[in-house]
Amino acid sequence: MTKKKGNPPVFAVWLLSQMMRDEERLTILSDFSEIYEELVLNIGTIRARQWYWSQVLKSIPMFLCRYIFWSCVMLKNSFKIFIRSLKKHKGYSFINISGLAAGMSCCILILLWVQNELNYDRFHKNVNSIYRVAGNSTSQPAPLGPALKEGYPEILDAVRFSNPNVSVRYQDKCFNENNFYFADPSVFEVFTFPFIRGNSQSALKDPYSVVITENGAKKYFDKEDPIGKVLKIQNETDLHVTGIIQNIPSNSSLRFDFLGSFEMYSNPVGNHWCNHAYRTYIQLAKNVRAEHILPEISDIVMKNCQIVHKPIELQPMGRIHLYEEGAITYVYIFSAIALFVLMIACINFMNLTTARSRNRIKEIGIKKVVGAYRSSLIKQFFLESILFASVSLIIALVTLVIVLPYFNSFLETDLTFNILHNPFLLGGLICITLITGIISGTYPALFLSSFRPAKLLKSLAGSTAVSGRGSLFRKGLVVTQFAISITLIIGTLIIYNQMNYIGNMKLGFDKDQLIYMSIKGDIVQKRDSFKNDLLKNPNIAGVTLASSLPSYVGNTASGFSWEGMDANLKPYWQFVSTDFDYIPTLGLDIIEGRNFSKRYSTDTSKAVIVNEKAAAIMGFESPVGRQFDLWGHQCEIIGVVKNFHFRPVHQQIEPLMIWIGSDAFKGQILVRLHPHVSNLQRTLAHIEKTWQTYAHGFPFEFHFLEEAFDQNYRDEQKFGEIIRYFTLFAILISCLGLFGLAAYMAEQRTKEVGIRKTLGATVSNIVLHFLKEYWVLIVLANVLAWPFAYFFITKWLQSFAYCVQIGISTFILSGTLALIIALLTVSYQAIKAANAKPVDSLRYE
Amino acid sequence: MDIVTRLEETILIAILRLGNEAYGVTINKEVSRSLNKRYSMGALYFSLDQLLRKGYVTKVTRNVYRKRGGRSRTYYNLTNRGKKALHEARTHQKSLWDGVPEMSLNPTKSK
Repeated sequence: MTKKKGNPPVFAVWLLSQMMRDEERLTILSDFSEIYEELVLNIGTIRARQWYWSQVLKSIPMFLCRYIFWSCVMLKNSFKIFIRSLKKHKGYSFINISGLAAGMSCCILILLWVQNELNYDRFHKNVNSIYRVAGNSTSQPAPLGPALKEGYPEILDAVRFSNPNVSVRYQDKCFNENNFYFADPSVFEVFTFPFIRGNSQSALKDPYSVVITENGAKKYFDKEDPIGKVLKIQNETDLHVTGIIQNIPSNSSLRFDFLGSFEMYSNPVGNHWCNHAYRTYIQLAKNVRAEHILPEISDIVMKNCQIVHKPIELQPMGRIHLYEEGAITYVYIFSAIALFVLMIACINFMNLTTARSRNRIKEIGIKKVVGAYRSSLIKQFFLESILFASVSLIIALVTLVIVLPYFNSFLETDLTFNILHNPFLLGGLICITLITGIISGTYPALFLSSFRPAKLLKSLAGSTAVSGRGSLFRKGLVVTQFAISITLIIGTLIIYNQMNYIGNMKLGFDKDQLIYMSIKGDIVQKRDSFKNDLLKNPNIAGVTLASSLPSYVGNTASGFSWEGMDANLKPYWQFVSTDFDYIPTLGLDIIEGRNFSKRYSTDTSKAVIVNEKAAAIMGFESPVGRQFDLWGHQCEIIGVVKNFHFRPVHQQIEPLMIWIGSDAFKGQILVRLHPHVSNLQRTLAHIEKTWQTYAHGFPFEFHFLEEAFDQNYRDEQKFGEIIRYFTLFAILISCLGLFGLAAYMAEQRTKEVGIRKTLGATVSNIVLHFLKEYWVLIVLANVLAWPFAYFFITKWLQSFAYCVQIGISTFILSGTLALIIALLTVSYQAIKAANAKPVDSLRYE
Repeated sequence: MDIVTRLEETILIAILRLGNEAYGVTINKEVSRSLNKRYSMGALYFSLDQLLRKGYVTKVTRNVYRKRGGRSRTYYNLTNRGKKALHEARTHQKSLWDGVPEMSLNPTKSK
């Protein structure tokens, strides 16, 4: 090498060489350096270097133009080849594109959904400073809100929500509303609910006012102007409509159609510090960290109500849905599934492209001979796969537009597909296309470009050597595909089993033929005659009033004690306030003691029945007859009922006490029909008639208890159903790929089949010979999939306290299913090949 | 009739003049000399590309042995089409000026 000053500036040389095509790089660089060397001799190194740099910089636009021009020429050529091969091999192109399109539409759908989930509650401007106060439960005592707001400057505001079931009347329209919330008037300053009419500052100032959503307005007022109109609540209170807000987005954890003032809603249970009944949110001042304010909130709660079952925490608004309600698990699971399905589609592409490389050997060989570099071939194949991905994307988008409404109504979301307003989505689409293109293009690109031209052209017929290469890789990919599919099948089956198990689980009481209504009007006051009137119908077996439904007992009690209780124990139990008929109506078993009885006048307030679990906690040999201090009532434990599931089976059965107590607690009416009700319509008509006499003016709405149970498992039900669809998709795409691969293999082995037949092989011999290769693959896929599936499914089942045993039979069933599907797919091609006349087969090629 | 541009004409003439010695460096020098200013290398390659595409020149890459190692050079040669185009350019030029008296080009004196 010459001295350093004899060489042109390294960086400039590099820059220059980047702008050129490979074939001219050497000559142009040498031209440049020739002039440079001459200049070094004439005018010195420094000026020469200056010249070199200025030349390089001046040349950039020109070279760039040339580069783009030549790239376009190549692009045009690649595009032409793409279109031609698309037309020529319609079948394979169809398999490739439809597989990719299916995978991509799954992916985009999930992307939309994930985005929706991640943005839960984020539409509130103050989302980062809003926290939900949680402790024993997510509900807090009524006095906590005002105490926090007034006692601490760091807390800007506190808003309480309550959600009683009320009846709403406007003229002759009357419904029971579950979506009627009552909140502190400052709710609109803390939360962002855009107003269409009215003023957010003053809307709820007057306690006799109500703000409604567009949906609510449509339901009651249709085309009338709702502002200033009066809604009658519970047939007694008039509320004026003072504002209309936009419908609450589906990804909001607070969902209501009517919002009244908290002052209007006075709970009879009252302002007690130990009654946890209201969701309470606080807004912190700027720069106040939740951790700093938390001890003070804990103190104030502890000071007023010592019973702390779980420590107080502040849950950030943005995390409530994802983390506190556990949605993040589903986000992960679905993202994984989307990726899996996309991967299966990519594998199809890889497999078919490499398997069919023989058809392109001539093209690759000629290109190489003429002087194509490996890099330019790689570029071409990448481009091709990205083009495939783009065509698939268009099909996927069209599919999506068609499918999205169904998906929305199924998931009760309002996902919209609007690329322009959603840069995240646009980025996602581009990413998905590129990733799909690159993943599915990498192996074919590297594989196809690696062939040696001489070998290729010399042995066009001997190209078996070429397609034989990488067949192991292809088999591996098929195994991966089916392993994923089998995992999904196992998941689907076990989720189905678990849902069945829940459905048929012995709950400890009979949930069939039970209907329920919310208590309205004079029913509580006149309960005895109401019950008697109902029982006049022979089809009604029992009636009871209770504080909550047995599908979800939501009342918790603390601050009670029993004789001989460990002083350190701070019991925190569920409780039901009901009447004499609760236990017989539900069909609960009393294992010790007796039911409430009208013969004992003290039973209405001085008797408690506990469940087995509670009895176990108390620890007595027999709790019956023990004294029990319930909020000052000196009670006696009169009986023990067998454990029954009064909460979703995600949770273990908790201690429960059953008490008659005050009327104020009563909220629901449960009516038991006879198991073989002879005339349901007439029975219901009878109930409605009775209802009208006691709750005149209130709408008659009833539900079967089973609906309430289904509600408990709705998330799981939906989850199961979505997984089922995705599994179907995955299997379909896998089979599509296998079908293509088998078709190609059969085509390649035409000659072999011909020879075998000539030598005396029967059709079944040949078909079996073909299948032999594939069943090994599927068995291998099973071996891979089983531990994988077992791991994931036990994770999921852990969220249930009661779950099915995972039997090996499920695994075997899934494996067999996959095997049968795969073999059926292959055997179509195998039979087709085996049935060809040997003469034609041998003449082939 | 396709008329070559003045720049193309200049480059073609340079290649013609240089004969067998026409490659990047020499062409650049020749063009710079006749235009009386330094001509950028990048621009030269761009123009050469265009001439190639129009079929006026061909190129061939040869290794040249010099004292210090070998160099690759891309030599350019006029094709018959190029020669014809140059010829046409010259006759066109001539016919343009035919009959225009020399003196009429003299600047007129301002009064």
